[in-house]
Amino acid sequence: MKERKWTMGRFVVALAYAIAVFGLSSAVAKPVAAPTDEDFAKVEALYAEGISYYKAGAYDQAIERFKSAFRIYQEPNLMYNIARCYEALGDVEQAIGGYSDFLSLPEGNPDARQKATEKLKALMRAREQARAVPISPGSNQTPSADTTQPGTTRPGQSVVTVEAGPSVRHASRWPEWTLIGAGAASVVLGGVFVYLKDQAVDDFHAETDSQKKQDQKDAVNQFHASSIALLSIGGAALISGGLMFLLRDVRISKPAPNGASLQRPPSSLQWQISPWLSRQAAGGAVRWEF
Amino acid sequence: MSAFCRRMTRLTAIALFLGVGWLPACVDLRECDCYQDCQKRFGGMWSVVCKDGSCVKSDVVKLGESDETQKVNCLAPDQDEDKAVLQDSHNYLVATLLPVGGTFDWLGKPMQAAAELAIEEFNRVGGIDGRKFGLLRCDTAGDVKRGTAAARFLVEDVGVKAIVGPAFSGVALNVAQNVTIPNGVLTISPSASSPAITDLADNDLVWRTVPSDALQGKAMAALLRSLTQTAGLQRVLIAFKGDAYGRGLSGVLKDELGADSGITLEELEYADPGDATQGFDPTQVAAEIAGKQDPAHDPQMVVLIGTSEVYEATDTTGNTVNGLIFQTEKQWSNTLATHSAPILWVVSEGGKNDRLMEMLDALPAAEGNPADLAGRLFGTAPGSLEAKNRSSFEQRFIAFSGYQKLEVYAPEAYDAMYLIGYLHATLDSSSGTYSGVDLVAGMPSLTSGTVPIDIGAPQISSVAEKLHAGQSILIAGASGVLHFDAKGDPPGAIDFYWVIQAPEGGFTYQSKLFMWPDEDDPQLYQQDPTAIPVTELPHPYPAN
Repeated sequence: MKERKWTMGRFVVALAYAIAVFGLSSAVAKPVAAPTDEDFAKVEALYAEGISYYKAGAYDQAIERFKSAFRIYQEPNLMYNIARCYEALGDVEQAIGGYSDFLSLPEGNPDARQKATEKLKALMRAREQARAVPISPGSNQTPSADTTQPGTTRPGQSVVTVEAGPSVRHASRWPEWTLIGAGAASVVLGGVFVYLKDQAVDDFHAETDSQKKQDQKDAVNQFHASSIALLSIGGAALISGGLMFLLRDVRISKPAPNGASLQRPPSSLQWQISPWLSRQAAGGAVRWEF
Repeated sequence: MSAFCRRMTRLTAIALFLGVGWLPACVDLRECDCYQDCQKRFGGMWSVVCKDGSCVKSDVVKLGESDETQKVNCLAPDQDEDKAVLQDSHNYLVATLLPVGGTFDWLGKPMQAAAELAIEEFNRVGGIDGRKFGLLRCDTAGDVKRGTAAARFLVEDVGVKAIVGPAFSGVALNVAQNVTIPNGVLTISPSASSPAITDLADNDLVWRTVPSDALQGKAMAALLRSLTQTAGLQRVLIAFKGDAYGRGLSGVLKDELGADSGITLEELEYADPGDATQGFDPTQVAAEIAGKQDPAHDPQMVVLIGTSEVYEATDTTGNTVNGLIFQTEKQWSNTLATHSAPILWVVSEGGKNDRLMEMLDALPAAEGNPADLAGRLFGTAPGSLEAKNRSSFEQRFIAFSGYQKLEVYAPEAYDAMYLIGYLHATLDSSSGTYSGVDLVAGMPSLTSGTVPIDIGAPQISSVAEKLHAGQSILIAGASGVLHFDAKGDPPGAIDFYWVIQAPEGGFTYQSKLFMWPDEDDPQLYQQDPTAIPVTELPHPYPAN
């Protein structure tokens, strides 16, 4: 899975967008906790069990393990493995559904996607053929484009390693928006005090009465102190919020216990075009997460 | 978000906060370091001064706005070029403190014009060491309180170190004792002639370019003694203004006459017209003088020691009325048949004035101007020792000021400002600040030379070079050679003046040098007895 690379241009655009939308106080999305290390450990364990059951030909148990893992962490490749198990069981409809679901999800192993596409085509062809050819009683023919016997693997066919994919659900960004909004408001208010300070300075320089001049001087210092405080606090809040916003989804590589590559999801600030294929229709999905 | 990102964000926020926090907590509102900075910022508003780095209106001026007796009135420069000089903190700052407003503006305005001419000549040649002179002109109105308030403004708020003025002795003494001496500021008066100034404990900070009245007192005493011998003068009334000038001159006159002069002296001190608290009433004073003219007293001569009130005064309601001479003559004329004969007037320099000549020509006899009055008016006044630079100064003064002739004390004011200008050339150029004490320390360099150098713009640069080189000079000023005695008094001459018919009609005064310093010893004086045209009193009285 390739890393997201940040260019200066993307950073500036992102920061400008964040500042321009000041005033937002909270995000709409309901906060969802990101998967923890413990969750990943569970997924690893379930995945390992699923692989074991798959190799042993216990496809139902394997499906159950893979589904449990998917509930914890929505890794698209798990969906591929589920579809593979259904195919091994000969359940064409479930297999077609599984492969379709897999292809509708973003990310996913590219090889798996290629294979899933081919398998989907083959299964659908087989299903059509099955509908066209009457099945004689007692026949054990089941349309299968690629039947895998329990415990065996077709030559050239590899077990797809479970790989973690990008998370499809992201934590709410209300802390960042709160900081950015409050910071921008503070900066604007600081700017107002700078203007008031400049006005007071002009009045001070134009005045010649000593008492009035002292009053103006006090006003200048008060406005100046207020503007400094507001600008500094606002600036700090803006930068903090912006940094938090941009750096929330940085991917960090971490090796899985069984040698498989277990990666955190990359940053989701990107455009994604996903072709999908289902029984009823086919098309593509454009996705932009931020 | 990873622990690394959270940590990085926190560090960024803290760094930003601290970085911004180092910005100055207060705005630098400093506007000025000196008066000139405020003049630059508020050009034309002479009352705005620099206090604690801010340009504010002077407290002394604000006080004067609510209390008329301490009103401060000054003038900023008129011309843009002069304004620019005043607004440049690189330049020196000097001031005049003269009666340029009110009753005595006839005396103060010519002196101020002469001082301005001196400044113009210095600035035309680039000043001293490239530093020109900014001039601030303030009015005393001839009043002690207002003069002192104006001096406070100049010294305490503006920060001038040298002042030409005040004009009147009473104002000069009060200003010196209460403002300039305590603050180390040099004053050079062109006309304050009271003998009291000679013995003032002034830390060498009070000078004058006019001789002490001690000389005029000597001259008056010589006049009276002469008339005693030649015209049978026996009874004299001395009427004098109740200020330092009047008391000083009358005191010297009495001392010079002594007890064995053969003259019966009576004294009459009248309220100082320049002091509003004394309530000067010219009619009342004239009545007191006229009241002396009775068989029991019958002064043959009135020595009148005053200023403009001798011919024109302001009464208690603020109206301008005829002065003491005319009011006394008017009251005498009413009693002439029963009491007295007309008498001789001997007036100090206050009578040497064009306005008196106009009134002699214009006033009817019924207003105290009998036909023979002009023939009975005489006086003594400070004269000029040398005519050489006086005439050239007169031409420049007339061209610069617009006056038709050289006015009284204008040469002295011109010389005073030149002294101040040259004293700045004796300063240590490496020091940024200086005081009046630093200035006056250079006075010996200006007065101990041997060959006098003519006063004027062409000599300024060469004189400055000589002074920088540590040489001593002697200035031949417009009023005479500027050398001073041990007490800071210049030598002087006294003219005797009298009234004559002017060729073009009306009256004018004519003068002749009567007393002058000895060439070998300026402390000694010579006199010309023939200068006095009076050979007999108009109506000699038999001795009582």
